[in-house]
Amino acid sequence: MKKNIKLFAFFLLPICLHAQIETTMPALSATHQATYINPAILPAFSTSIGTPLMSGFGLSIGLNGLNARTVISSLDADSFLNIPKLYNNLKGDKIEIDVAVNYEIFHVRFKCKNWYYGINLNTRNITNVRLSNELIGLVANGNDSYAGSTWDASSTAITNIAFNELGFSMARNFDRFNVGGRAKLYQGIGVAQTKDFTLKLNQPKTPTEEISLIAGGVINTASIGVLTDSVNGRASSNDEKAIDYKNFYSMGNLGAGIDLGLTYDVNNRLTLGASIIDFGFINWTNNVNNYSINNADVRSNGLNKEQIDSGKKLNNYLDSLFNLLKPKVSENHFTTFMPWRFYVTANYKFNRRNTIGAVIQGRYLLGSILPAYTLSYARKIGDGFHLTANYSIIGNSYTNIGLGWSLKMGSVQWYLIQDNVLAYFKPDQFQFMSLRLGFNLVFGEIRRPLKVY
Amino acid sequence: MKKLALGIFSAFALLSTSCIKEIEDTFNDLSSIKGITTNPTIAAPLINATATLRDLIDDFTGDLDISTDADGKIILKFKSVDSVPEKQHIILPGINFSFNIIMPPTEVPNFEAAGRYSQIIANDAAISISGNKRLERLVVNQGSLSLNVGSSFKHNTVVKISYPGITKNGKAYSDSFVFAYNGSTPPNIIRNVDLEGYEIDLTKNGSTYNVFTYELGVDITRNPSNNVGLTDKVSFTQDLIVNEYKRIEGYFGKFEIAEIKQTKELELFDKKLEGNVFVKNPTIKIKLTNSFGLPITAKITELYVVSGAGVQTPIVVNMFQDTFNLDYTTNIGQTKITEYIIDKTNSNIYDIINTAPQYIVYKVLFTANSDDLPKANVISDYTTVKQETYLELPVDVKILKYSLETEGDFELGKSLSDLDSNGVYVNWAETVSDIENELPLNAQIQIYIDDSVTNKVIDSVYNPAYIIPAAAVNSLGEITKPTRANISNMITRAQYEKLIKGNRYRLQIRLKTPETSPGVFPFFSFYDFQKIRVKLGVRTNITYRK
Repeated sequence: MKKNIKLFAFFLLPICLHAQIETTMPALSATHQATYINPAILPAFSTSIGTPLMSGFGLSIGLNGLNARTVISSLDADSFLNIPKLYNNLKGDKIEIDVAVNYEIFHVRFKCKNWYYGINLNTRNITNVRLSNELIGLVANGNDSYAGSTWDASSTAITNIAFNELGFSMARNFDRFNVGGRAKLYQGIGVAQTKDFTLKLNQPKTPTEEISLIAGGVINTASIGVLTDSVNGRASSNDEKAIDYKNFYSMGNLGAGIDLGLTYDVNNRLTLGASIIDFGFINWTNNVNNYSINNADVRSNGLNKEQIDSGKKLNNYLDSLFNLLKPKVSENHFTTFMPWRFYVTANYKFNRRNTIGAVIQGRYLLGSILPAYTLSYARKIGDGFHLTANYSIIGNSYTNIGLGWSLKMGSVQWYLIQDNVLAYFKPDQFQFMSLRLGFNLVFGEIRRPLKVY
Repeated sequence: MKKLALGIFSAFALLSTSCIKEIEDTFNDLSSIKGITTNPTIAAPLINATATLRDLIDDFTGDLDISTDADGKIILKFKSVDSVPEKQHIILPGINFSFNIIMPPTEVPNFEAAGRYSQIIANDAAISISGNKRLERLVVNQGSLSLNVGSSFKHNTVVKISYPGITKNGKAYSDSFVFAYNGSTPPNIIRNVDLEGYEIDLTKNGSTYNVFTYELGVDITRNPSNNVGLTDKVSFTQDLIVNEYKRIEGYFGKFEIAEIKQTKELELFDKKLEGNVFVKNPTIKIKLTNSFGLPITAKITELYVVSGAGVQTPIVVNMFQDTFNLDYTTNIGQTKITEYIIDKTNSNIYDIINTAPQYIVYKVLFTANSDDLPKANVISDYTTVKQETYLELPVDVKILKYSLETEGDFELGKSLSDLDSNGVYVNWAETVSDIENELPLNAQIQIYIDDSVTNKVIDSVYNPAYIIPAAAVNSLGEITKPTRANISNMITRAQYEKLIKGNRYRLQIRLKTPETSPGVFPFFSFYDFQKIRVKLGVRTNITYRK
């Protein structure tokens, strides 16, 4: 059983799209889910319904800086993970782990006159962990390896946002343009996010000189309970530490966002598109805590004579150092901005069945943009089967082949998308994996005439 | 189309299945991870301390008194204080007497005619005290005067008593006793007087000593219906007792005040292993503070030092070969101080100190009025002789292979062993030091780790011994500049494994004065502004595996 679970887990992982980056979905325009990439995409059916449990599930995992091979190649002969080896095998200057989960509880989309209206409810979780390689370096080699320089792990950042998303969409065609948008109401479930994180160690050339640790930043949390045993000297109660599950549905942490999209038919074969997705924020007010260290500069050049002679003075000195690193806790409301994305697409139809396309996309989070470039081919086979394949460059990963299809049988449309099928062949080297699958109930296929400009 | 879709799905599934082995292998590799191992080198500053010689000596000795002279030169002081216990050195005899007063028969006719009879008796009572001692004046702290007066006359009688020598606030003590005859003899009247604060003068206004003066007056008023019997009388009894005096004056004869014996531990020297410290000008200062108002003669009956091996060496002081006298005051409340300085000009102290003794022992006998010739003495209830003895060692020294040692429990060994059992394997450790020394003193430091059960040395921490070089000096023995030294000491794994088995440490410091030329070791002065600055850091390489 355990083995089956393992296989299942690893079967799923390689067929995932990388977190938040979707390379295949833009080309699978026959599904309602393509409108999550560009709300201006007009669906192929007048009505699309997604039901709970069936509608859709997306899981994305992105790894940057390391993968399973990095870890495996860092094992000693006796299967102990050798941290110094691991540090040498890391690429870039940080390890980044992205995990995004998107569970579509339901959607309804229908056509009314020339307009297409839709409503959707999704539960989503976005996790982004960036760990400076120097954290591993410090564990691997110790602080002495930084003698005469500054160890800096300030690029470390962590974001975890869980929220419900209620979207209302509209789209229609205006001659060569399709215009669409989706207004979103976000209801925050819980969050933990670092801000302005600073962690530096000035290591002197010799251990006789002054060493200094500079630490600063804020960790904002909401609805996940108090993380520390005491808050500003007052012991935290168990109730304060516990997660309150009412946060899944209470309306305390509200936010708003918008998706906007546009497509333009350059001619009867070439269509250009652009969209911006998840441009919004959540204002966190429920059970909020801010753990802040105000750029503490902890310096030590060793104990002086008084501290050596007096245990009390030594303890006072050590306490004073630790107190500098003790976070102050406040309860100020705060706002997190969603990791928004943009897509620029170009599709060229050779005929009704064959289309090639190109996508430039990016995701913005915590001050940086992760770019991706995709070339795709899509073919419609028969009446209800759409198949697409693509090649993408994502960040500094150049080996990403995506596949996806949608298959309509009766009123049931099944779709399955996976962005990095090569991960099947080299599961230990994958960096981006994503899966999106589900079933839609679709009615009333719209057969649009081929436009001639 | 359904067939096509099924075919594609099947192909996809087949593709997936063919990769299962790859996935399983990857998973197996990851799930086989037993733990982590790492090999960091941790470096941190441990000590950044500045100390003067005074600080260092404090660490070794605890409560040694260290001072400086006007130039800042350090002086070590071993202080010993003792005093003669306060007590009532003079025991006063009681002044007790009794007598009767009758009406002489020749006076009876006059009494019957005049109806009144009066008699006044002024008398002196001698104090019974031995030898040539003299009691003159005293102030009572605790004492009492008890009077018992009675009258058997069948007439009204008044008895008045007055003590010119017992005064309080300048007023002499007096009292009267009234006996009214109403057909039966009135009972005796008893008075008990608390004498605290009263002054008793036994000199009869300065004309003599050991004399107690009183006046008694009797006044009888006739009752015509009664006669005067031959046995009728006024009876009088006095008991005066002084238990404690506040002050007493007179001459109290020759007597031994007290004998003081003290043993003073000379810290700093008690941890000596070997070698000599030559102190250029050692001195012993004796300060005697005398609040006795009488001549005191002191006699040092014992004065010697004891070495670590228990050998007693006498300190020979020329001026103390016989008795010596203390200054004294004749005024109450004042003290007189007598000081003596013992140095190498009047004793063998130079040689004695350079043997680094561990104890100094002395015994002094104090005697009052040793010539036993009467002279003015005054003693109060707090009278004492306070003796303060200072062994002063100005740190003008030369040190030849002088070694100190102190020891304690080595608890770090067990802590490090526990660390080993928690997956931390210490590969090596290195101490790195940056030292600046302004002191004209070479120091060689070694820490030995012992097994206290077998009493055997397991290993030493420093290899070679840790050496702090002295400040640079010129041919005149003057310091020309501080010395800087960077010293590192490596502790290997093999050495580490030995050390953590120990449970006792012995810190051994070997000190040596720098040579100004080969074989020449001058005296160096140590000043409070001379410092030694030590920066000590540690670098440790560990393997963590768990």
